[in-house]
Amino acid sequence: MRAIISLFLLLLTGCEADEATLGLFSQLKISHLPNGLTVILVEDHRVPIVSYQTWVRTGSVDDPPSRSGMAHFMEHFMFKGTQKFEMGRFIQELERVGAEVNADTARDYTVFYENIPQSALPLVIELEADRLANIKIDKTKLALEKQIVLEEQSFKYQEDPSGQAQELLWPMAFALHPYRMPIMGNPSELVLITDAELEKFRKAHYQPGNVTLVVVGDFHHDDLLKQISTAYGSIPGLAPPERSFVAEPAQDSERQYRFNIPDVNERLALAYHITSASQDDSFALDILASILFEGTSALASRVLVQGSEIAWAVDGMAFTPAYPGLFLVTLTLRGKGNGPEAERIFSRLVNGISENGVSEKAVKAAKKQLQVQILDSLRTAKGIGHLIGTAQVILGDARKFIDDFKKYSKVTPADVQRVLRKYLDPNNRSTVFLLPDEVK
Amino acid sequence: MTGLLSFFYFLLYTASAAHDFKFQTPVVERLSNELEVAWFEDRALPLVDLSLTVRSGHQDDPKGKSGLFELLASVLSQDVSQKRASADSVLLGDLGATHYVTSDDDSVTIGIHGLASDYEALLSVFSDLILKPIFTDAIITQEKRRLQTRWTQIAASAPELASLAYHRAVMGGTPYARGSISSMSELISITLEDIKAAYQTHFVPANTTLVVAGAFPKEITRRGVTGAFGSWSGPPPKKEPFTSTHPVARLSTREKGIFIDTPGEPLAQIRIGYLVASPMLEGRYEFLVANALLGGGASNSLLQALRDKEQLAFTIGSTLAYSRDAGVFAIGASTLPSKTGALITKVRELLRTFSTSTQSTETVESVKRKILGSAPIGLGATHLIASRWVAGSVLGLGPEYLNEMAEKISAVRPEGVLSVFKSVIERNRQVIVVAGDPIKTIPSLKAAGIWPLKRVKASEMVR
Repeated sequence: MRAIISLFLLLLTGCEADEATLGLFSQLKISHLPNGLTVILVEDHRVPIVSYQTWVRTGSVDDPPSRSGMAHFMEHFMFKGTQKFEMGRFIQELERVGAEVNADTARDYTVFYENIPQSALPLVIELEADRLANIKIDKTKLALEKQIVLEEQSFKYQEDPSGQAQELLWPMAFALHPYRMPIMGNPSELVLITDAELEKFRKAHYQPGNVTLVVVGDFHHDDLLKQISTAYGSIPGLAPPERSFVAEPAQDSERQYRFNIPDVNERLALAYHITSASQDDSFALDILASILFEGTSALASRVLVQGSEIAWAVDGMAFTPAYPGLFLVTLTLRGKGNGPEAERIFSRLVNGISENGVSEKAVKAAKKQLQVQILDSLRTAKGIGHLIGTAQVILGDARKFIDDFKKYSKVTPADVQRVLRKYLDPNNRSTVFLLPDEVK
Repeated sequence: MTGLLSFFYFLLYTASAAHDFKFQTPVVERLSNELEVAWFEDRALPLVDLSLTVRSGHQDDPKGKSGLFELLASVLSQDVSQKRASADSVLLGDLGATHYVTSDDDSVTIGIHGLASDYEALLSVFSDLILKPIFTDAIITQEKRRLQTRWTQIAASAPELASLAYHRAVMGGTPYARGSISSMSELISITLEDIKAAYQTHFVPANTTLVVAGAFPKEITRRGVTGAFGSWSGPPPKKEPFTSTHPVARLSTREKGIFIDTPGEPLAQIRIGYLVASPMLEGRYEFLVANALLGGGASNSLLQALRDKEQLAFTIGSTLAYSRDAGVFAIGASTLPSKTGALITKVRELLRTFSTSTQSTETVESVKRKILGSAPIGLGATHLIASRWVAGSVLGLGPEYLNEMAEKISAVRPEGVLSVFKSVIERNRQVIVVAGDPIKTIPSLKAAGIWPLKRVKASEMVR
């Protein structure tokens, strides 16, 4: 574990390191079963727990045409039981031993994870292998599950208005690419999903050739690999499903929209088209986002919250997924009718950086923030697994993020200015004004 | 409320024969000025956490000044180092560090987190935040507005309204009845002098614990802490808790609980439960097991019976949370307005059954295993252990409590669970709170005989 951390710090401070001596390669062990299943194991004996994560390289981007929400719906169905472990029993068995169980569907992947006491490892291997091989698409459960997903969707606004503001940006920013569709799907398309369609989706995506197991924790590598091989080895695998999407045409003029949402605050959400995780500009974009939005001296906060007092809060990020993503900004506004002025103030801030750049000090601070964030994710077995799994499904190789950290350390103020000028152009922007419902 | 929703995670994992796991306990010392310092050394990662917990919180708000400690925490959460005149001052952002301030009924905690290599700079910024806070009318006015906005948002959230009303009702007659803010008028009345007085009275070394966790350089750290905090002084605060009951929670003899009008809400929010004993009293482990049996986890009894089987609830579970001198047990649920009455009826039946029947040994043992197994998962990193340790210390639990509880939980028996649960519901009034659309929900309550409830508007809750 210490070797991984030392490596990260060396890379982030710009020191050179011989790849052959990198501790990570002795810690992170990658295997491939004959059926295509990828297994990544990291031993961590600090605490007698294990984080067992099943990463499926399938997300909302893989939803079939006119069937948005299929990937998320499939995630739900993975908890509906098999012949051996009927519905509900999966969670009951794990909870009985004190496990934390959850799953998440994102745009490019779906992940299922269990954080368990070390002694429960054989149980979780059995349960997970069984549901990968044998999950049943039961027609009688389809209708109820659709109802649950639709209800989950309709209450999401209440729980997370800011997150919903960001969700509204994607269909506005993307005209053709599947990223335009909401992860939970359009209700009108969700209700059309048939059991046959879901089964076809399951067969193509939920098979060893499209799955990576990431296991971090208190175990011994050789023993665990043997157990996994025995449990998963007989599950037939296929090549990962091909991904082929229509390229999103370049946006050449600003788009603006107004929506009413059930919220007490006005909100402003902005999105600029940017690049993908595998492209070098993504590193400078992360540094830019950190300078603008992270920490107590975040530039956007100083200007929009403390300075002009036009917003209660401002947040943002450079979202660089597997395909070209978005630079997202969300503001929770004070008062009423301040959206256009807030947009003008943010534009002035962007123009200021475009003309004058950012300081070396700001870039150095941003790199430090990223260091702390990365180290924070290594504090727990779950965090380590998540870092590895994300790199595996987004970049195609868990080891690639080692090189990525070298690239962060090399970002200069000129790089940050360059990417701001390149991407944060008003003609490349979609703007959503979110106004509270009048009826309440 | 310390919000120890995961209280049942504070337990030792009874490991297999291959392990003998114990949670790290700190090295604790007391400086000459009575400041308690707890050291949690962990060299696994080059990170360090500094936190200071003041053992005064919302219940210590003076009469007529409810919201003072919430406001004080809000003011301290600003990065006051930004406002210092010196151009040489180190900003937290420059260090890539983060800071936080939290407050609850019994404490205020200020924390800072960053790279171990920046330890000395972090300690310098941290000690400035604690020992030289900047209180101005402008900052206080700004933070009052922020809190007012936050409270406005509560009025638009049925789940938060239900929880707020429930807290006020169940804590009525205790020092915790006012919660974090009792009324906007009291919050607005707080002055700069009030803030300064509270800081000077309560932020004293004898009333605080400093926790240093992570890969700190030992000798430098000890010298640094003594240098930074050694001359801090002040007498221990004289605490004068008083009991009260929030106006919303004052019920007539006929009223069975509280109904909050939330027109247009698609779901009704329900809270039912009881005041329980403080964690210092007998029976707390038995109640822990009882809570886990009833409503802990995604496959809890309530969920199985009332959602999966009878399809009466959309979500349902139970929570157990402790402050130093009291605890709250709550069953929380959401459902369609038309099913509200039936759901509450079934919950009450279930509670009655639970308080009259002994659970099987197998069931109790199964729940105990679940509680014990989950312990290291919830506390799988040193900073989490440090945080839980000091939270337990505020509740009055001993320094070894994290490592004592496995034995205590293991000793729980079905008869003990029944006895404690029965005692709680016999000694304390059952509290019922519903937040929902009145047109759709009230008929359901009336049909089930759960009426009259005291009707209040959402705006009254955050006035």
